Amino acid sequence: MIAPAAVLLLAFVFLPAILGFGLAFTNARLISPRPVEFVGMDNFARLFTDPTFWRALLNVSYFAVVVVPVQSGLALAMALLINKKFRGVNFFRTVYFLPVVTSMVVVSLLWLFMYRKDGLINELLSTFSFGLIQGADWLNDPATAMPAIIALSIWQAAGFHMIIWLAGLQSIFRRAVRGGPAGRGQPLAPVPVRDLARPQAHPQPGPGDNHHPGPWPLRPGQRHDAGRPARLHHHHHLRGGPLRLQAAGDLLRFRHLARILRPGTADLRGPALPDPREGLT
Amino acid sequence: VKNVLRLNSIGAMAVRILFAAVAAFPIVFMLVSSLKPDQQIFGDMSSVAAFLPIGNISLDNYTAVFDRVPAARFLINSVGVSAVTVVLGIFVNSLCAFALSRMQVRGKRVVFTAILATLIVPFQTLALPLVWWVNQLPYFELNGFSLEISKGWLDTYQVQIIPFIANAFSIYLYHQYFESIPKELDEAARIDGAGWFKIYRQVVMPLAGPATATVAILTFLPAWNSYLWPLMVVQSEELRPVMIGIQYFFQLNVSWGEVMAYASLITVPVVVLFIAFQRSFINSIASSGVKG
Repeated sequence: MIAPAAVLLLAFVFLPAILGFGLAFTNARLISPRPVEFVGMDNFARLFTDPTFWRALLNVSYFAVVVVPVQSGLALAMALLINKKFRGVNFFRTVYFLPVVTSMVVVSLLWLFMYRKDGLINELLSTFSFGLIQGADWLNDPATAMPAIIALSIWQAAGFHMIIWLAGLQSIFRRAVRGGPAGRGQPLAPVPVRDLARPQAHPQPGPGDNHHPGPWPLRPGQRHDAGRPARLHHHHHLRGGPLRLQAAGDLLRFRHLARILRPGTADLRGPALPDPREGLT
Repeated sequence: VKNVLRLNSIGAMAVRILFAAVAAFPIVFMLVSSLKPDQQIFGDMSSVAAFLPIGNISLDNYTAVFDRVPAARFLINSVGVSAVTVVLGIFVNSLCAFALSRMQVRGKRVVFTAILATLIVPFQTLALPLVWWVNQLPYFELNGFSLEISKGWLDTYQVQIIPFIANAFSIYLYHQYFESIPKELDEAARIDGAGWFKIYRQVVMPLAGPATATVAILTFLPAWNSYLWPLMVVQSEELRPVMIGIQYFFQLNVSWGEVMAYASLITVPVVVLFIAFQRSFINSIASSGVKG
């Protein structure tokens, strides 16, 4: 039963990866009548002496160093803005998430158009500043090209990261109600102490709350959120699992989140708390 | 205190609206511009009229799009390729996850770790060797009653589908979900004489609805949005997916109204799907934690 997936992964992931590594030491071309020859480290020597490569490395570092904190920060702000329930919360969630479901092809094209010298961005800047700001030729000026691309990238991806923050925020509140750390190891995040001191904000689960979502009976000791791993509790499963590399980013984010949500700074979240039994809608 | 709270919530709402405006304005601009003639698009840009469907509104750009590119064909191709990838992906990946979760397989941990290790390899690094490799694969074609075998998968539908069926993340999601379904259930089924496949089909899969929804969405989005891969491996016009169609609009004279109409045409189906299945969408992203 593993076979179909295993064969496909071997054929279309492992094999090309090995092939790519092997081809790096040859003079292979995609379409060429010349026989493939082993050329040792020649390709690498050429790469490391190519100034374009070093420039590209610098550019991508610049991109990453700016995008990671700014995007995560904005995404957290967005998550906090729509974390609690209010009228129209679904509208805002939908709108914040729209750029994520838009294809990168469409996004690039759209921003390419808006970034033109006579494009929407410059026209709006000029209108709202009453002609004071003369916009740049964003993508053709080396000074503004990278910031412009960074803005585009953040615009597209912030909604995605917002959802991850939101999942983290809401699982902390859920934990605050159910009490106690789940899973192995240290607690995922400290429970906001201030909230525990206000039981009326978080009704303890009583006998009536024992409706669990799955169609199967609860085993002794099983928590009633145990049947919903594909929902918002995935990080419980990630802990100690083999997915360390991938989970590392998430855990870092959650650690960071935990720091922000310590009692002293908990006011970030605003006064009211969401009903913790509600999932994301 | 009450006043402070009220002021707070008004402030929060203002910030929410500001963020929403920033998130939505390019998309609104795209949809609105798709209804306007080129000259008006540029004329309206310096005011809020850029975001309002006013003035000379028509569907002319859309009819022009269908004249300029075989848009209907592209849409059918993309729907077909995405649908087949999703359906086969659900089957193959859940089957693999089921075996890893339920059956005694030797070296199970190693297999699972190897599968997850593929998550760290970005597709772009695999793309070039993959092109070379799929071009070596045999291609079977039924021509009348004779089976013809030729070499190379380039320029076919299957080259757009088969490499993307097996997916480590889908296997992982299914595996974690299956682990949470009590094993007593399939033990009971086994006592009743059910085989592994029957347990998979009639016990485990019917309970795995949320995981299936997540996998479906996370397979559909990249399939629909794929651009780099079809650009590399598909030459025939009648096999191209929607994203490649964009290129047609930058040959010869560019009409931005038509570009916007085509961009809307290929974005709106996904947006409609998103609004219809919003809960599943958001839950899948939340459980993914990786950029799709």
